[in-house]
Amino acid sequence: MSEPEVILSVRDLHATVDDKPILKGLNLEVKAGEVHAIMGPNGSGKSTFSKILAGHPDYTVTSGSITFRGEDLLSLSAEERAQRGVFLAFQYPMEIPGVSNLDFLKVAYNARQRYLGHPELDALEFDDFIQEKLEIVKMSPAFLERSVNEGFSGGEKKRNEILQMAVLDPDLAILDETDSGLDIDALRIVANGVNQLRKPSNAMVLITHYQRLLDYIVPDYVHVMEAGRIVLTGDKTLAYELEERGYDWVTEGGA
Amino acid sequence: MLSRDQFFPHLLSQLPDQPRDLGALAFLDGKPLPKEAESWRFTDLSALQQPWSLATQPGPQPSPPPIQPPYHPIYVSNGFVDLSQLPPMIQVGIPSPEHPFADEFAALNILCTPQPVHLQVKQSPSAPLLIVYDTEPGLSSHPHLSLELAPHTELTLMEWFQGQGWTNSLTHIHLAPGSRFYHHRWQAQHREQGIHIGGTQVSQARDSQYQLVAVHRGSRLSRHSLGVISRGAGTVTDLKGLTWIGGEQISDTHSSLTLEQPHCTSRHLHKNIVQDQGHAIFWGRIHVQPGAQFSDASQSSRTLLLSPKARVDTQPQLEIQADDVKCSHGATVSELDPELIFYLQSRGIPRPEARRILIDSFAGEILRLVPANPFTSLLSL
Repeated sequence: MSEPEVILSVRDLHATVDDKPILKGLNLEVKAGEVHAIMGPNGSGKSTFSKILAGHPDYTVTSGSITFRGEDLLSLSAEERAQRGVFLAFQYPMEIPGVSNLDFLKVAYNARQRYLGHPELDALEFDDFIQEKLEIVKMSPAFLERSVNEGFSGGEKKRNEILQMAVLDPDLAILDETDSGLDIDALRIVANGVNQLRKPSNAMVLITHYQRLLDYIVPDYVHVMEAGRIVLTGDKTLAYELEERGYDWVTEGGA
Repeated sequence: MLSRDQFFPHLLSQLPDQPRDLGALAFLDGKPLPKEAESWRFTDLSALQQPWSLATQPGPQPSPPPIQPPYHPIYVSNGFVDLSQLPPMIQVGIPSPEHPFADEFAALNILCTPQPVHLQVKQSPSAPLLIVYDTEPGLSSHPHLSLELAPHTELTLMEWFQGQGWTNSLTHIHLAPGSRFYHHRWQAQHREQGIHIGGTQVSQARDSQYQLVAVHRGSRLSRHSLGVISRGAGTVTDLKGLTWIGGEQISDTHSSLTLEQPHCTSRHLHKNIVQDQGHAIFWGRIHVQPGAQFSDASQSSRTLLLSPKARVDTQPQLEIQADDVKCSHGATVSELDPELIFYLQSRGIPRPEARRILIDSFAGEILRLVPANPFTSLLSL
C-alpha cells in the first residue's frame, strides 16, 4: 500500500498582524485520511493559524512555508485556495442579508466546479444536489430560502458551515471552534455531519478549546499550541489529560 | 453656460402664450437658479445651467422600457401626453390649480407645461398604469400629471423616465379614504446628458395607503422632491428609495412627510450606492404635528460608498410635536465590509464577484420589492 498523500505541510511559519508577531515557528504535517486537533489557551495563535491557512488579508506571513498538496499555498488568493479544496469553517460565520443561502451555495459550488474543470450545475440540478447534503446536517430546506446566516441561531450557523463544507467537498477542512456555543444536541448533529464527510482522501484540522468535541470527532493527533508554536503532540488521550490538568503543565514544561 | 439670474427668464421668454398662472409667475419673478437656499446647498446645479430650448412639440413615441406587460401605457414625449390607451375605469378630468408651489421648479413646471393632465381613477384597473417620459436632447420638458383615486380603489403606477434632455416633471397624487396606491418610480435618464428634476406630491385621506419604491439610476444630475401630507387618521405611508450612481453623477432626494392626524404609520428607508466620483444627497424630514398622536414613524438612510472619491450628504430628521408617538431615525455610511468579502472569497467566490454579490444584496432590499424589476438586467457593475 502506498503512503498517504501529504495534504498540508507547514514549516517554521512566522506571521504577524499589525506588526505584532503571532505565529513563531509553527510546524505541522497533515496526511490524507487524518484528523488533527489543535488545542491551546486563548491567544496562543490557533485562530490566527486557521485564518492564515484560508488566506485572510489581515495577516502577514514573515517567514516559513505552507504547502497544500505540493503547491505553495501562500502564493494563492483566498478564493484560489478554496477552489483548490481548502475550507475554513468560521468560528463566527458572517450574516449576508439579501443573499439567499441557496444562491450562495450554488455560486460557491460552481466556482469550485469551474476550477476543477467539472460541469457547473444549473438551478434545477443544484436543487437536487443540495437535498442530500441537507440530510448530513439535518437542516430543513427552509434554510435555503433565507438570507445567509441572517437570524440563524448559533447552532444553525455552525450547521450551515458544515453544509457549505459538504457542498464544497474540500481536501482540507479547518474547523475553527465549530463546537463553541453549541448545546449537546447541536454538537452531536454537527459532529455527526463532519464524521460523514471524513474520507481516506481528505484531511481535517479541528481547532478547539474543549475536549468534548473530540468525544464525537475522534482525532488521530492532538497538538498543543502555545505562544505561536506547537509545543506538544500526542494522540487522543492527550486531550483528556489537558481537560484534567489544564495547559499550565504543558507550557511550563515546554518553556 | 447660462448665468443663474438668466436661467428662469431664458425659459419663460420662450413661452408661446401669455402665462395663465400669474401666481406661479409672481413666485418665480426675479428668482435665480437656487444655490445657497437650505434645500439646495449640497446640490451642484451647474450641469443644469445650459441654454435649454423649451419643447414645443412631441418627439417620436418613446421606446418601451424593459418592463414586463401587462400594463396600460401613457407615453409622454417632450411633456406632451398621449392618453390614447387609457383604460375605461380611468377618466380625464379638469385639473385644479396647485398651490402653493413646492419650489421654483414646480412653479416653472406649471408655467411651462403644454398640457396639464388630470386623471380620475373611478375603479381599480386590472393592470398597472405605466407612464413613460422621454425628453429629446437639448430640450426642456415639463410634464404635469395629477391622479385622483376614488374611495377604496387601488392603483399601481409605474413611472419610467428616460431620455437625454431635461425633464422637469410634477406628479400630484390624491388618495381618497381607503384607497391604495402602489407607486414604482424609475429614473433611468441618460447618465451623462440627462437632467432630471421631478416632484411627487401626495395627499392622503384617512385609511389610505401609499407605497413608493423610487429608484434613481440615471441622469448626470437629478433631484427628486417628494412631499407627502397625510391629512387623515390611520394612513399608511411606506417610502423606499435607492440611489445607485457612479461616474460624475449627482443625485439628490429631498423628502418631506407630514402627519396631521392620529394613528398613522410611516416608514422611510433610503439607500445610496455611490461609485467613482458620484455624489448622493438625501435630505428627509418627518413632521409629526400635534394632532398626530399614536403615530409610528421611522426614517433611515443607509449609504454604501464604493470609492474614495464617492461622496454622500445625508440628513434624516424628525420634527415631533405630539407627545404619544413612536418615532426613530438614523443614518449609516459604510464601505463594503472586508470580513464579508473574505467570507465569500473563502468559499471560492472571486473577489470581484464577491463585491458584486454584496452590492446587489444591498440594493436588493429595495429592488426585490418591485415585481418584475426591470433593473435586474442592468445590475452589472
